[in-house]
Amino acid sequence: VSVADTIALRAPRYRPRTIKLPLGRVPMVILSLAWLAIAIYPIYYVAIVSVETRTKFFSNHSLLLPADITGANYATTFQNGILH
Amino acid sequence: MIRSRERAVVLAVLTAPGLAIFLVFALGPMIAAAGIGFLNWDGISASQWAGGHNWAKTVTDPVTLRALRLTFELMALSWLIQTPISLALGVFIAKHSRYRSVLAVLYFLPLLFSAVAIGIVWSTAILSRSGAVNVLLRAVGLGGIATDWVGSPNTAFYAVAAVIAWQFIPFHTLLYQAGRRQIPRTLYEAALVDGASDWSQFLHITLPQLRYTIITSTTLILIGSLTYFDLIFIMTGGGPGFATRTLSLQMYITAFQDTQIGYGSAIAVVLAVAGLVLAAALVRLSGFGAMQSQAEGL
Repeated sequence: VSVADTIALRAPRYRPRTIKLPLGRVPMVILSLAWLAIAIYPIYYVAIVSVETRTKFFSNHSLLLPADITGANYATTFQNGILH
Repeated sequence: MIRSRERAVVLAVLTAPGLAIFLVFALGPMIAAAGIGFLNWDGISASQWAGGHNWAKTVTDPVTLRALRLTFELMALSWLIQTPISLALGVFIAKHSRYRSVLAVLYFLPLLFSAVAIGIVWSTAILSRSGAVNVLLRAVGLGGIATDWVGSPNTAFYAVAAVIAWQFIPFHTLLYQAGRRQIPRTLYEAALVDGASDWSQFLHITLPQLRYTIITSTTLILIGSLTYFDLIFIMTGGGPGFATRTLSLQMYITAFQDTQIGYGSAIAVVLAVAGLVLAAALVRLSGFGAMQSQAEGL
């Protein structure tokens, strides 16, 4: 038996992980993912908008990532004394 | 004999503080509102006796009748949207697994925000003409149906119902999750031995066992729909036109914007009585009042 064969015998076989999803559970998984998006997205969207300029919001802004990031809104918020 | 008398005295003493608070802060204002309902009063100048005029107006005023119809429509729509979704999600996340626990935490995020914050964000950043919904519609080529969802009389009511659902589905999901976790595992194990499918287990075990949770959730949705105020007020103020003016908003606008305190009080009493009747009917029809335990019938 060659060294290569010994290594091949001892090494654990690579088995790709598969996720078994019974067909009956597909609608439930779709619903749960849809609700996840619906529950989180508005909060995420507010976070995106908070780092955009006002002009950008009213013109053409992105749904996923802000194009021109600005910290001006946060600066204004803190200057207006949110911590007091 | 003496013992039972002592017991009655102790019970009376223990009940008295709660009863006093209920009388002063719940029943008292209701009786006062009913009394003001007989007055013609603007809240500042001297009041005048109006007799049954305000009460008659509650059943003849087209705006109030429309508000009443809208309230019942909102009630039905809220139940139809919230109950199936929260039931499904609650049952789904009740099973113990790591990813479901993570999902549960994320699902409940809307519960963290106040109605005012939710109302402002949804009406200005999500549902407005330049909001996320319209940006998304344009991105997928459906720009033709993009509109001001809160500003249009045709869509405002549904937009408000959707936001109310967004706010309250997590809470009802939590109720169903807790209810599902109380169902004994032995029932599912027995069903599994009999070869029952997931759907069959849901239909014949989960749903009947969640009966009282469904009634509790339904009562909260229906009674809540009667008194939804803050979110609608922030989002639309009852408009455009009368499109989202439910009975609670009609009461507020009548009493504090139109300064007809007497008529507003009459509407408030109608609202309170409608809530009481609805709650009593739900308890009577569902047999909820006769229930001794959630595990009844096992």
